[in-house]
Amino acid sequence: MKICRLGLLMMIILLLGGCAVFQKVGPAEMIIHDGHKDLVSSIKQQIEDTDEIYDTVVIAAKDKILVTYKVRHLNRFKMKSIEKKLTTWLKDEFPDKDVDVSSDFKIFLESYNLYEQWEKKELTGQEAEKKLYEIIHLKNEMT
Amino acid sequence: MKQGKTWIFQHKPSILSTGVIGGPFEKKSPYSSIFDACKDSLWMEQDSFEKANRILIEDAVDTVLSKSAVLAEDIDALLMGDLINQITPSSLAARTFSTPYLGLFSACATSMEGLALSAALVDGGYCDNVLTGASSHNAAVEKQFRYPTEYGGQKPPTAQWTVTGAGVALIGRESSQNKAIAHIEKATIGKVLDKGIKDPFNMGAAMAPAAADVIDRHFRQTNQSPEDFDLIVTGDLAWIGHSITEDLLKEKGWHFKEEQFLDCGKLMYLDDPAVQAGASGPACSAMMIYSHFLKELEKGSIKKILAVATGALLSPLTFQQGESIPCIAHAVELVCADNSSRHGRES
Amino acid sequence: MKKQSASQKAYQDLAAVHDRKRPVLLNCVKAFLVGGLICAIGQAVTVVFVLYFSFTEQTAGNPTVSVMIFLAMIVTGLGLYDRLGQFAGAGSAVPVTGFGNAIISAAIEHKTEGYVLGVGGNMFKLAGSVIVFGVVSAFFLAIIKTLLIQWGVIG
Repeated sequence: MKICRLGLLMMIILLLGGCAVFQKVGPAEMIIHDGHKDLVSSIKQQIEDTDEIYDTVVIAAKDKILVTYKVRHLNRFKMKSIEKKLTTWLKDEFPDKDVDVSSDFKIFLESYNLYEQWEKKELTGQEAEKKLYEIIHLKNEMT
Repeated sequence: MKQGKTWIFQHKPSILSTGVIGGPFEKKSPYSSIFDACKDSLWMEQDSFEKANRILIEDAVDTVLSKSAVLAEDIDALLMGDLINQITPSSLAARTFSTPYLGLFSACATSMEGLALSAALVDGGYCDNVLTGASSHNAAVEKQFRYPTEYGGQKPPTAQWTVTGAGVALIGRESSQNKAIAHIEKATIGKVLDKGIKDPFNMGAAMAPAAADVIDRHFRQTNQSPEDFDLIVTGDLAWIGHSITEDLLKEKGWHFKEEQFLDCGKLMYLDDPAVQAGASGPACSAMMIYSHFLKELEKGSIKKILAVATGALLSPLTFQQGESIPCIAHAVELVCADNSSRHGRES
Repeated sequence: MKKQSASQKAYQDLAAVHDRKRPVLLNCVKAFLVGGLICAIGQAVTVVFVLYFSFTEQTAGNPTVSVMIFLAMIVTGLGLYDRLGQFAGAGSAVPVTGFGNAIISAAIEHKTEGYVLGVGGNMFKLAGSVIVFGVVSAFFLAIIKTLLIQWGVIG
């Protein structure tokens, strides 16, 4: 019985902790390399116009752009089609740019951390770019 | 001599002594105080449940012998059975005692099969003292017939709980040193009946027709009726099978008074919800009959009972191959020992 | 299978009167609650892996399954999982912890027969069919999916 109660307590703590984790933090944008301002704001606008998505981080470096977002809970079944729609739109608009799209929570989290550090000016452009590549590498990891 | 197919014993073969050992779960039984002992753990300090089953038998036999004046060397035969593959616990226990041994298998009807056969051996003069008993071990049986003990499968409410324990009785002629607890008067050997029940989790319903048949035959072949008995006790039909049996007997015209038709499977744990429909296993009838009911006979508070043990003769193989469950039941009529001899014993 | 005789049929009707029915609806509710609870624990483990380790939502699945099976192993070893199973039925059998329990309980059970023939040989006694039919059905589903993609029915 004691174990049961302890387990229940831990469960509740974990569940409540879970609530805080998924709160809205964005939208945020981060431009490591100048000259992408218009591009980033147009991406942001497009994402904000999509109803199923509620939180976004857009990071633009010299040759890479990372777009991460959170999908509204009830729309999670349609995650694949949302991602596809976004990717095609990006391809059509910026055919010459290398854009990575992710709805993965971990990628969002890392991107947001990077954004925060960037805003606090803790990073140089080079360091930030390196971190961005790390995140993109993590995203492309499959297993 | 022989009346129909019921055996009528002429020379009063008697139960001289009994030994009943239970397991840890049986401690919670309302009858645990009259068992000779209850083990504290399912393992019984052995490294397997099958060995623990053997320990139950050995302890029960030791208890019987310690409670009577008969010595181990005077035992002419050992008639034993259990549920484990090839009845190895009984055979390995018999190895320990080095007495002539007959292995029995009638599943949960083994106890009364052994009692009837022992009475016949003693009555026929072939043996002077016979030990007979039955045992089962919950975890060993679960392992063999169902799933591993720790497996989290859900059992339906018709399932029964196999008793851990052993009940052994010493059968012989009454003498001045060895007072009888009860005489064995008659025995009816059952036929294998199969009413097409296939659910191994509903043994009560499978066994009920066999029980009803043997009780009906015993009444008719001995020209008796329920009024002649204080109690009719079945082995391990449990809550479902027992009510079906009562219905079947009513159809045949046998009506019982309240509290006259009892079942060991119902009494063993009363209505503990953990055991679902009730208790089962060869030890169930052996333990209850050799402890509680014999004690009542010895006290004289009841004079005559019909003890019926029921067995489902299935194996894990047969029910997986889709065979229905054949069942058997054996009935033994026990009567209170004579008042005169009882008097002698008490003085 | 042999056909049932009339007397067998008649008896089974008689016996059915006394049969105890499984409380199906109640069992479903219990299974839903306990199964949901187990899955919530699993989700919590996933979140922990995402937050504190370098796993993405995609890759956190594998370590989560390992942790859940490990928890099932401990609970089984303490002799609690079978009681949970009796209470919850499918609720504790369907999540991966049920699969873990099936393997572990068999391993514990057959330890007395030795490590090679006992534990090794019997460990997958119950879970083996899960693996076999899982692989077989995955094979057929993959074939169907491949064909549908080839024919252009699905993308």
